[in-house]
Amino acid sequence: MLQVNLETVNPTNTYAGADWVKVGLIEAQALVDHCGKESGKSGKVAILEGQPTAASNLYELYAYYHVFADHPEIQVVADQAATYDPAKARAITETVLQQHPDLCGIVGNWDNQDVGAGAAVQAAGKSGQVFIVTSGGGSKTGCDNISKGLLSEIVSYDVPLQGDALNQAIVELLLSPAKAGAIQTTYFTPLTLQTKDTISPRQCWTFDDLK
Amino acid sequence: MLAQLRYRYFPDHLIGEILTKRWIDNAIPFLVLLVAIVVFGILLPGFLTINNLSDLGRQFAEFGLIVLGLTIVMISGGIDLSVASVYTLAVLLSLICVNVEGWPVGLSFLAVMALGVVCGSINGYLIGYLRLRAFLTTLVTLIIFRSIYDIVFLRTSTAIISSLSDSDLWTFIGEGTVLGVPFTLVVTAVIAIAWHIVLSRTRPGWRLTGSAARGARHITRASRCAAQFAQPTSGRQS
Repeated sequence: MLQVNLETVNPTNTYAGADWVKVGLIEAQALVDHCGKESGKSGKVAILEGQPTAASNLYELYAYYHVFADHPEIQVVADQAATYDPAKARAITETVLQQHPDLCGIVGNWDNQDVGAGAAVQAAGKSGQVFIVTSGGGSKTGCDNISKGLLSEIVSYDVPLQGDALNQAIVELLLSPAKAGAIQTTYFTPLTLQTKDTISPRQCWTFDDLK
Repeated sequence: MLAQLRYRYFPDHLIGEILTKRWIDNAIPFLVLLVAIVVFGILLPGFLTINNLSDLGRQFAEFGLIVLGLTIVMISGGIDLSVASVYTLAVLLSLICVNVEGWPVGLSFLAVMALGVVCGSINGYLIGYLRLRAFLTTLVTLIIFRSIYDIVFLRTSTAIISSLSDSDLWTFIGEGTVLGVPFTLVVTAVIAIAWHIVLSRTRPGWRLTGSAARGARHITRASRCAAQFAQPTSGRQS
């Protein structure tokens, strides 16, 4: 059995996808860098979960709170689930901005969902103040969102590369003489940080490139 | 010439008479259902297999329970928009009781029934005693119950996803079959038949379907109980 990208809590033969704990650690560290002691900002961050029962969500939450435990100046003012819906993300962010006008950062589960948060921040005129970090597949849509200023940083787990890894894993599984379940492999795809300074056509894939 | 053929062969009197019958209001949706099953059975390759039909049957059983509760309310002239939220709350409670807390299925069942009674009583008190408008009141309780669900679910999602129930009865309720028919479908059918008998053959039932305004309190409470009666069955599937 092969799991792709959204791990479950039950391990199977092979997993090809992102290391969600690592993604969470990178995102949390980005928030600490932007909102921590040295930055002089308020230190308030909001968490936009995806689907609360998804394992990737749990791994990321573990990573966030693990990092924030070492940085007491970071204060999590909101932890809500947007369930992959940008409209919900927008509504949640609007409420959080009203409650905490000095919000410093938002960390979200998926870039297509967190575009909603970015839109709410832009509508409130706080694009320079709120740092939005999220993770995504690395598509051109994500890169465009960064260029438009809706998102600040995307941790890309490179979905086309996951596709290649998957094909490789399938071939291995089918050709391997070992019995099912005997060997367990995990392939974590390398992560790329996409920000305004680092995006390039090489990393932002479009559907036409893949055909 | 065409007019003559039309008057001679088109059965307009027959159709007119059928449309005035008492039972036509219920027969038409049922007819549409039959037509839909036949059409999809022809168009979709795997539609009429036992696998697919029992899967559909399980889903139907879930909706069927909610709809039964709502039917009883509407037959007596009221309306209840909050059925879906009460259902989600009941499912959440049953998951917490059985998966997270590990309670026996019977105890969880009683807890969920109690939740249904409480929710129905809130609605019933507001509509029956305080005489608030049913539509707006249940709209508001829909939002309130859904919000409670959102808050509680966020806090318990980790616990729910990382625990599994060992109970065989729980698995049977969710995935078992009785003579090939899914267990949940059997339960819904039994409850539907029971309610039909109560509504059409017993004195309290006649009173329910009789006057519309009176007894709204009893109705909402009873409908909640009915809808929550086999909650663990549907809860297992979530």
